[in-house]
Amino acid sequence: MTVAQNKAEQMRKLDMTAFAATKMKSVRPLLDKLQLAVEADKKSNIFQGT
Amino acid sequence: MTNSVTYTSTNGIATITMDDGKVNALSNDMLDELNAAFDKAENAGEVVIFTGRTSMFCAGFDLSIMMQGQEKVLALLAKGGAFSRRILTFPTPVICAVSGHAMAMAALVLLSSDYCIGIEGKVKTGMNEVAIGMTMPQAGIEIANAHLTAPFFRRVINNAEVLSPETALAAGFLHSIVAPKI
Repeated sequence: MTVAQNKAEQMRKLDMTAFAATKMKSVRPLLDKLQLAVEADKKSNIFQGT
Repeated sequence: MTNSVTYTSTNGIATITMDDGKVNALSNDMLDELNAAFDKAENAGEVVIFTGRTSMFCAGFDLSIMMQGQEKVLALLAKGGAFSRRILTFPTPVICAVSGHAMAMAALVLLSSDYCIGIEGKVKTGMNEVAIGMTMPQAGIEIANAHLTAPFFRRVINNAEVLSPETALAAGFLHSIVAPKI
């Protein structure tokens, strides 16, 4: 079994409801920032230094 | 569709593999295929192992599309950004088995995942946007700022440093490094 499969087996034993809820809480501040960033990126030109 | 993504499932673990025979560039088709594979894993409630081909995890966005004008660039950036957010919020663990180089958007995918396993050797990880004349999108900067270790943030984002596996581990791209078969 590969290292990645071992890690997946290990993580599969987590309570997935608790995992999903905790993951969402942990990324919420970043998601809020990303919402603003996505709007800013729509108005930018990545090839013209803006 | 180009059939560059395969999905296999065993005992609650999905393995999603990119292999376009080249550098696994993230085109619209590749992202569509990846989303379809992640749909299957999400519907089955599976832990995901996300990997690439031998020596090449992914080179980032398809540069041929990035040269097709602002409208197509923004559309691809939006699709890639949505894919990053999907991994960030995916309800089951996403483990990247980083089979080789991971550059630009691919490096953001690593930072969006729950655990990343790299391999020893001459493998490159980084965000080379500035080096190739692109301004880093704000969304990419926010993801990097949230997950890279502080000393590496400016080195990776502003200075476009390309990192060895050991340095990528210190920077926060990787969480462990193993011998090439991962």
